[in-house]
Amino acid sequence: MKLTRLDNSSGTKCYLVKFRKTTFLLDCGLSTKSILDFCPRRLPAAKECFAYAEDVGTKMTSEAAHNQPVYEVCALSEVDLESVDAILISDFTEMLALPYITELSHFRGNIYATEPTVALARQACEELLAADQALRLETLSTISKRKRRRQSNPQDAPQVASPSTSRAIFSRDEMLASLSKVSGVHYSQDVSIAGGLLKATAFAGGLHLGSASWVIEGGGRKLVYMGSASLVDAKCCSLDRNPLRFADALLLSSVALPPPPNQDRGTLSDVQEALVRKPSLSLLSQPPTPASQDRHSAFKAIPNAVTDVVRDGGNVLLPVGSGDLVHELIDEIASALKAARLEAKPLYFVSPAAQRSIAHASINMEWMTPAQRDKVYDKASAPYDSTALAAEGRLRLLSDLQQLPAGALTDGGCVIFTAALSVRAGPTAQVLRAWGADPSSLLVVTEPLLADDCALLEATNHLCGSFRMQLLKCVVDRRPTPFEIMPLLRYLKPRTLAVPSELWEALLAVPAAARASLGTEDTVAIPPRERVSVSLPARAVPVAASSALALQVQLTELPGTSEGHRGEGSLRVSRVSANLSVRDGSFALTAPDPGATAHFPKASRLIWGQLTLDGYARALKEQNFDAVTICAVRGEQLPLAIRESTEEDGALVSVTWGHHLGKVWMTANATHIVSNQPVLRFMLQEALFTQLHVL
Amino acid sequence: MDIRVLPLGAGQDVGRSCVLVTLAGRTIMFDCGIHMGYNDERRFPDFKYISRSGNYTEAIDAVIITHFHLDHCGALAYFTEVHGYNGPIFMTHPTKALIPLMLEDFRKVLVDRLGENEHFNSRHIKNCMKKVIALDLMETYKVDDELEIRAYYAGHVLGAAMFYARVGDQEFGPSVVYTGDYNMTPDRHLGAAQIDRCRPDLLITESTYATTIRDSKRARERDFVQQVHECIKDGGKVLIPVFALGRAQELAILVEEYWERVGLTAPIYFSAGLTAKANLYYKLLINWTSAQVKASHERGTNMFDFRHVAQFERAHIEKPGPCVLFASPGMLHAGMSLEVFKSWGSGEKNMVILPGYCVAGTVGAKLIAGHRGPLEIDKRCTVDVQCKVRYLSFSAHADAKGIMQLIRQAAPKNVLLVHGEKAKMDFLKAKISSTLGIPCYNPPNGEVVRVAAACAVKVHVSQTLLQRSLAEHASASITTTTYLGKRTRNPSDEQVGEPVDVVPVEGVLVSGGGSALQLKLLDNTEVAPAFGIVPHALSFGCTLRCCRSTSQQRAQDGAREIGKLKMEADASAALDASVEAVRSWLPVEPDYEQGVLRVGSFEARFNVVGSSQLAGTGGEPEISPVPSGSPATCSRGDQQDANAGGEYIEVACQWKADDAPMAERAISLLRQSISDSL
Ligand SMILES: [Zn+2]
Repeated sequence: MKLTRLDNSSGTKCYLVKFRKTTFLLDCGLSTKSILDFCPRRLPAAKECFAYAEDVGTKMTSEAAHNQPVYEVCALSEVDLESVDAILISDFTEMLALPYITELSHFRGNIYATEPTVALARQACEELLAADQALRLETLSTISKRKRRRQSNPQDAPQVASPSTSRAIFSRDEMLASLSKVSGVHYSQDVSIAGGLLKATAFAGGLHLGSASWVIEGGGRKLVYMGSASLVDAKCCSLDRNPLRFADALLLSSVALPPPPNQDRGTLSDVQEALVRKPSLSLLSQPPTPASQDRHSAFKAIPNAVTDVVRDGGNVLLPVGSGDLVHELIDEIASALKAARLEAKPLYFVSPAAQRSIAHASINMEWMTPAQRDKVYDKASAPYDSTALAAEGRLRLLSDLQQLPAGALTDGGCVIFTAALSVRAGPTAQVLRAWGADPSSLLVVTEPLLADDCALLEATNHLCGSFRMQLLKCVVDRRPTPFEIMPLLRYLKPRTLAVPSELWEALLAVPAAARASLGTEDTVAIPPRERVSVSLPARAVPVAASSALALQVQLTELPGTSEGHRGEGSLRVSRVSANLSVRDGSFALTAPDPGATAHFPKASRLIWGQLTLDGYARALKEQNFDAVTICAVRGEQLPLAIRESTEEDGALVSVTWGHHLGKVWMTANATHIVSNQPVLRFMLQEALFTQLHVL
Repeated sequence: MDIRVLPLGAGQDVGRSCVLVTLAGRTIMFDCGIHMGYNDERRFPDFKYISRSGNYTEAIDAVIITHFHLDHCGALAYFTEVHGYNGPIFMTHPTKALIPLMLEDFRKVLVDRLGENEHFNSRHIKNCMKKVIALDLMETYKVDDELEIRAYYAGHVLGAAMFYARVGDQEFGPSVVYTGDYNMTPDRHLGAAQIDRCRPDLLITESTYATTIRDSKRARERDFVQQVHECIKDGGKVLIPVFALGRAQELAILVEEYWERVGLTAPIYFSAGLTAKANLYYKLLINWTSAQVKASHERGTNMFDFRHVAQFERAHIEKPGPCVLFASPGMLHAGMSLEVFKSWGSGEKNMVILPGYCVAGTVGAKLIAGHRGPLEIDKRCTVDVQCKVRYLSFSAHADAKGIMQLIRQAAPKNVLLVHGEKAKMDFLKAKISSTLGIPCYNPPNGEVVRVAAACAVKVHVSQTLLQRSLAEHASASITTTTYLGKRTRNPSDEQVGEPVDVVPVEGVLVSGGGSALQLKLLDNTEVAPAFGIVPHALSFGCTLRCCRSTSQQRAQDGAREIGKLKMEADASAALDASVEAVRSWLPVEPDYEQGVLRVGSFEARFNVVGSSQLAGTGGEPEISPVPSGSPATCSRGDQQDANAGGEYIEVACQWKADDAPMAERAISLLRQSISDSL
């Protein structure tokens, strides 16, 4: 099996697999990190910030700041997409590059993702398109007219052949057309790839609603892809471990890495570090904790913080996006507010996907934990409270900020959920402009990308003190840590473990005691943009043999092997001639037609055993050969046929039978019988078979 | 290995569906329904057939419920809580959500309205549902190590599923599909039934409409709303007896749309309780409806939010003015629909629309049969039937065409009919046997049918053997080349699923070695290493000498030189002829160059030996170390000639034991053809 890693960042995933003459992609993520390279003008105190950033030499000041936003896709241009049979998606966050593949290449294969994954991806795309649009509006005015004309030219649309991995955004139509090509699957549903050569099955991953681990089987071998695993108890179905066990190869990419010491946004981080120490900024940041379960409980701090702020008349902004996290947060915050008798305070969900997100969240109990399902079964109520909140009007769904009731931003005690792509454009930036100077308001950041982006806000504050909002950083990353993944790997017992190289380093950093005896035979670290080979054992293929064939077989005990086979009882064997029929990549064995004789007969026999010259001579004499003489022969004098298989010295046995002559050269493991008389050859062979085992 | 089928209900009948299937030692109960037409013990399936001991948990490995209709699930709580079945129960998520409503409603109708003894109570229903394992569509669920089940979309009602069950691995174990009720055409809120080519050994299908071919659904829908409208225009009341779930929602969508479009204001009612709660569930189970309903839900409108529909109250029965009422149950045998009918049935302006199947003996069935005038409903009540009665076959069952279509899709080896009337079944049975050539059964309740299941033995074939066999016999066929990596892309649908190629394999079957019985089919070359055997190589050699006849030789005595030349020409012709003879017999092209013929391990070296050469190299070809002076057979058996130093052709042969039969035949061919041409 050949495994090529097409991504080069830990942020997105994309692997190309060649396995059993089949080519498929695992995930096709799109990195929105490059959005952060833009510095729109109208950010609070953007001008100063911009200048400061220029000073510290970040990428923000590069030409990108004056250009159209671009996104980093994986190295798809290096792949002959026409030869790809299928794409398997593990999570909605890992399929945003799909339109580039389905709409802008010659890809003609099938795409499989769970049904909620497709729906959530649709919402994420809507938000991405809106964010892109907002960023363009923010930057367009800085671009010369001529340049703008060139960029709005459709010829400038993403180019398939471009060697660069940076692409402009796809259109909404392309996105819709692309997602309509995805086949939605259920957990434990088998799908066949390349006409049945491989069977792929999705099992619950536990990270998001619809997250999947994929098990790909073919030719008796099993490949497992864990792209979106989580060990945290959330509301979506939890990780289904058992089907992932005993894989021949396990590709693991779902691990929360500790932040690298030198981020590529290093300078901004430095600013951030400095700001954290600055007492004027009320930073409620949680110190990073190792276990994801702890990180998850840290997430419970959010409702409390929100309640405190709202009680004091402050406003709360939560840019969390439309995934399933937003519903968990809405549920928690609404019930915390209710407990504090603040249920009259309005909640707003401002996103182009808000309506869709709420509608979708109400109908997916099949993809959630038994507790969520019971809410539906027993009470006929939706699995998330957000459905009822929206129906009662406590949660208002707005596609953009213009729909916000007058005064909502200024009355105080308002909670707004927005898309999570950037704090620099769109509704998030608009709200920040309104609340940024208000120290009683709170900004809650859960997205890792936004946490990065917040450094900008902090820089703003540092420079001109214009950003005074409280900031609660509570990055929600539910993927297991390297430390937590170890016991899981020990349980899963893969034969070969394949991991991205940076993840491999993180695993190596885990104390040796925790790493001990993983039980894998081999580990392969895959550097970005590199291809590795994973050797898989050649496994026997289970084939259905018809009962008619089974009845023909007469098993006989195989002599001389029982003791050699670790005392597991004797082996029984039989020669079998059968017809093998091939259909959809699977096989069946049937009895050969009785009338049909093989056109090219073979007499394959397995001959083995201990040969003694005396015994052979005795057998010959019993067959009434006239004269039997034996003489020793040196190795190099033996006939070629024997010398092919052994260098040993041997013996020559000569016999006569009437006026016919026969000669037998023999060594311990080879015999060459020469006679011009066919019957004599046969007799010499039969005498040999009295001394050896023949199958 | 037989599959044993025993219908406990719905054998040559509609109602109390319950079919017991035993496959390779696993017994599954499909459905556990009640019969609406009976009030005595015939209402329930005949559980005593299951086991004499009465220990049903031991006798049954799984109970599978296909959908929430009472004739499929009505006896479930009774079976688990009263008869004590304690094993796993499977159904889809919507069925799990909706069955408690149905059972509770049924229980209330029996106890509160009809005053019967209750067979099970509310607590029974709750406890029963706790044992239910809910499944998703297409999910492959392993009940235990061997038994595997899977649900397919069946249309019919929300959450209705057809179930596939198999014991053992795919292609090895016996398998069965039980359809429950299904609908092959999509309707207002549900998609059409879908199944893949799973080739079960047995397909057990419903046959409610075994003899009907229905007209277009659209026409029936138009007909329905127009009839309702006409009745309303005349100031009449329309009673539509429906199952609380399913039909009610579909027809309500129709009526809502029509009211909206035409601008009608007459009230539409749903009978209280059940339907209201049912609508809540429908809103949460949109994933199980049709693509259109799902799409409009994504756009923010839930089709099950009925704006024109109001809750019906008993006071509305006597309220004057036109209205439309959806009331359960659907067969007018009890409950609110019957109560309303008692009051409205005698009004000439009123109308009863029966949109579904009615079991014989119910008021609904009598109306469909055309009853007019006084109709005794029970001892205390007789209704003078004067209202208009319409029967619209809206029932979401497959018709004859649909049933045949499903059978073609699933490609079963046998078909068994249940859930239909015997006469209609017999008709369909004949049709299935004749047009599809598939054996078909329709046993009555309590009669066991045994169906032979092709039982396959699982053999683990080594990759080496597989690859070698396929490579040796690689033909132009698609599948084989697919396997070898030379495939064409996207094979068309006809090619998929058809047996494409057959190649012969020769190997060694090995069993034993440990407790687990595993059969392995190995390539010959793999056997020795697998068992630590050092194989003994066996090879053979011989030398043919073919001489000219003595007379020919004598004639040439005087001109030895010329003769030698002639001899060489003859010899080369003889060689060519012999090679040709071997070649024409062999299926493969032999390798022949520089006087050496090779096929497999067989090798023949030709050598023309004249008398002048005898003293030289010709006597001892290296490959066949026959000691000099040894007797060599001459083709004419004329040994002296050869020894006397005449001219002859010598063919030194050697081969390995594997190729012995071929070698022996080739040698005799060579000898024959050389001597013939000399
Ligand atoms: Zn039904």
